[in-house]
Amino acid sequence: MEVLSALATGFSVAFTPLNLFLVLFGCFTGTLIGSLPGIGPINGVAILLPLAYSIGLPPESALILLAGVYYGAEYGGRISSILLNVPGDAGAIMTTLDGYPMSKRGEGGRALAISAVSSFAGSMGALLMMVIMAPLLSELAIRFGPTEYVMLMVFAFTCLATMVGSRPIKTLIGTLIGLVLATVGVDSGTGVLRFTMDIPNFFDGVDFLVVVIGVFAISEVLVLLEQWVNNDLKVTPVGKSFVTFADIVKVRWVILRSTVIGFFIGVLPGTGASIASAVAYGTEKRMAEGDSDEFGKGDIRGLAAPEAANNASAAGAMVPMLTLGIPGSGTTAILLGALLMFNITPGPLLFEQKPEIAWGLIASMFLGNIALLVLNLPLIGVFVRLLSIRQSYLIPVIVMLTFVGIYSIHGDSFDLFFMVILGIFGFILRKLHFSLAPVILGLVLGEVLEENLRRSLSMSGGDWSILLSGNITIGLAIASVLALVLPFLLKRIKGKGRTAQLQAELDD
Amino acid sequence: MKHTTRTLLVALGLASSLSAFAFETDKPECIAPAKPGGGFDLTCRIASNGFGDAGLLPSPMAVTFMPGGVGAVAYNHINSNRRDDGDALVAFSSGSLLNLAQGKWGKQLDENDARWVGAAGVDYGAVIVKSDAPWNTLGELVEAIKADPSAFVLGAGGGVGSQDWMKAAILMKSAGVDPKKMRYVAYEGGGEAIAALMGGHIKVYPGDMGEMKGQLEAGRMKVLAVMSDHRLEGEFKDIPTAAEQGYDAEWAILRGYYLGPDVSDEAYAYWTDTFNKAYENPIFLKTVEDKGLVPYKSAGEAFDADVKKRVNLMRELAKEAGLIN
Amino acid sequence: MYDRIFAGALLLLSGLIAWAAAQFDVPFQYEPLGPKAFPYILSALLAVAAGWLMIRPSADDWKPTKEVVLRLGGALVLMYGYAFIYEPLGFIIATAIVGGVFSWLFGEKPIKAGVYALVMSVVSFFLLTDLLQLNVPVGTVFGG
Repeated sequence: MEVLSALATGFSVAFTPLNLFLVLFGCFTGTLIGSLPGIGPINGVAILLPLAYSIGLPPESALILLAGVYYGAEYGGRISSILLNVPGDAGAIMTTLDGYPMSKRGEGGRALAISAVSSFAGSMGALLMMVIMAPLLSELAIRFGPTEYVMLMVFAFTCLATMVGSRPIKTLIGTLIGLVLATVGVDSGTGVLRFTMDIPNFFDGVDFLVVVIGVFAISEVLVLLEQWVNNDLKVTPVGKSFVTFADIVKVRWVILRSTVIGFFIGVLPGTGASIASAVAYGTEKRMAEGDSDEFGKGDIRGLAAPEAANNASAAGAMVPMLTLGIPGSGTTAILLGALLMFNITPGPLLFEQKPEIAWGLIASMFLGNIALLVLNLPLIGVFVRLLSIRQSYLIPVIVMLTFVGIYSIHGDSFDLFFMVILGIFGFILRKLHFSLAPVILGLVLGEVLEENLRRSLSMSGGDWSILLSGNITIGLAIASVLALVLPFLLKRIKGKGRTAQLQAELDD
Repeated sequence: MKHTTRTLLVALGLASSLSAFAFETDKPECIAPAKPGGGFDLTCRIASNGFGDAGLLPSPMAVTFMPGGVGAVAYNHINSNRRDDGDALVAFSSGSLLNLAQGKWGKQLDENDARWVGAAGVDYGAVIVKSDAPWNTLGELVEAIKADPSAFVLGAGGGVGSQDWMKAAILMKSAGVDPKKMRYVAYEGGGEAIAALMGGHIKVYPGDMGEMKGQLEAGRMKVLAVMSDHRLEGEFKDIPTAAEQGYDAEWAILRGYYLGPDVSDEAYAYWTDTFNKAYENPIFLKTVEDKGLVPYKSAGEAFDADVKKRVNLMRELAKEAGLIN
Repeated sequence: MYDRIFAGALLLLSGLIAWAAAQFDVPFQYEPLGPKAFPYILSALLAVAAGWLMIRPSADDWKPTKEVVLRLGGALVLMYGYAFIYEPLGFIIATAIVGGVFSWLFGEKPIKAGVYALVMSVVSFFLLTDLLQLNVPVGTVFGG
């Protein structure tokens, strides 16, 4: 097979001692950098990119290093999501839902291990799919036009609405708040300033990281403080919990389904890990109908699903970048930048003209995943120790890191003030039992939704029926309606007391 | 503040030295007012790689990113925090100037709030369609548009009032179609617009020639006209200009750099001289061409005047299109 | 009750959004939707959702003691102050002060908290600047 021999070329590039060292080194430093709250893959790559460039690494080696750093930092971000309830990027938001409760009850090691295994499986599965189907998929990616995106967003939001949090209405409100935040800034369609209050810092919109760190990390500090005052703050037990064979057996289909979902959503430019993990989480909660009460309280399926999906989508996002030169996610935008730095323009000709780069990169992603698993499974015990640090020592470090991370984005104190205000807001939301994830997803997806809605109507000259004019859009519309209606129908059919359900929700 | 002090120290130190210039940069920096990977990044790479490879700088030039509003954030930042930082070049493009002309960078800031110092190069607009599209000349396309303007969806990498939109509007005007009638879809960057063209979501993409480097070879798109006053060289030499085909549609994209408004004359002269040396240097010129631009040799006061003239021209255009009053 | 107050605030917000959107200065409408439509839609949805929450609020279960409110307020003032002195005083001093107070808030003895915070801020300053090459302010009062 042609693909296999090409991949073999890739591996022969990746398997030199230098490159093997680089991938291990990258994974390790990436994990360390990524585990700091507020400092993520972007910083990791930004630190090592100039270094790789200045010591004159050949392009393929530099890319291999970056792929390692990227994977490492992604995984490192999971550490702060699971142990500290601070997601490092959009893809990790859903991870906090079940990961943090697990670590709260002393299963931090188990949660990190399940995350590692699911991420590994998700990535590997998606990479395989990519190798086999890349040319076909790039066609799918461009077939997806504005109308399809609009309906995909609608589907993602309906998935979310019925799946997360204590009450659907609160999820809806959270999502709307996120969507409103997304409209702040220069309107890309017309250049009109919206809701900026004449503050230049808002011209480019509300920065995603400032919101995430404010809403999650700052509010977490406040919550911890309250618990400490009330003497509720038990030192989290640091058990030697670890993933068991039974765990893996239990989540094997979850991982497989989520990998497929994540990969296909990842292929579509501009959507990526956040939608993929939300849809995978929703799907799994629905599949577990009747047995889904533990979701949101530390169910390993609720952790495995988003972890497999967001990693699969990261691999999926490589497809349009490598074959078309369109970065489908923040990460691929960085990698694209890195490629351009080495005078390599991704696009239709990359695989023909520079096969050693394209296939070397793919091979290095396989290696990066293996390296990460091998490096991190043994280290989980060390990471979990983080929780045994006394709060009076740990909290100042968290506060410091959030400030450093946010300040380093623009070098402007304004972001710090804004972050603290968002922290208060996040605290209020949590006290009122709003789930924070929908807010962030709304913020991330709002722009995609609005832009594509406006593009759709620009195409049709204002005719809304264009939204239901294609097979894909109609399919997605039906799926959205089903997602909304099915849970209620199922409950009726099963004759389950609705009151009992409500009671369970209120107990939450 | 950090920079103020350092510049001061440098200035003091060098005032007594016998250097040809009273200023030499010790920590050159190019600010790309966008995320990595776009046109501003490319502009900064031309300075950092071009100057570096040609040996024109005492130390390597760092490229930093300051995304926001097609340069608005960087312009405001320089104007409030680093007005006299002689080490930092900031990249700009015609798109930036267009925003400046429309007052989108803050009402109190205009083209006089920077010292425009040198050009990286120019690029020209291009009328691009899918390779299996039925039109082979600009004339055929224009006839088809005239027949039913609402059936023609144009799309490009910028919103209403951006230079991509301007290109579309100019094209429409030259065809005698009211620009207000056109169906224009704004994408986020040229890459997305190209994908939309491939996917059949838009029919015409008024893009840039620079983006077409290597793409023609791949055979998925064709260029019906280049929006320049003369034919380009190299792989594009067979593409006719719009004027050749009888349409008055010209659009040049200028890429260059500015310094803060209070940068010393010494620093300004130093960079002007660096640019002038670079324009004579074949290594620098090759870097410019490798990045898909046509060299444009203008620096210092002449360039400053050139930029200000362009901004005024754009202000006129924007008024004409009803974008500003 | 809390839910009702929050819903009221959201209703106010939805009104503000609609009002602010109406003020957008759109010089020329070149597309069917324009920049106002999406905010209008969001504003309407938010109003409906907030109205629903107003009618069917959840029970209150947050009953903070006086000390909780006091400490939370203290922590907020502290973080706000941190943001305020971060640039002028620079990372090391600001972090030593704020980190120390935080450590004390979480039950550490004052002297121990202060020493810990000082060591933490100095060590991390060099780690962050040299190793991670992050943009960490030295402090403008030192002219650095």
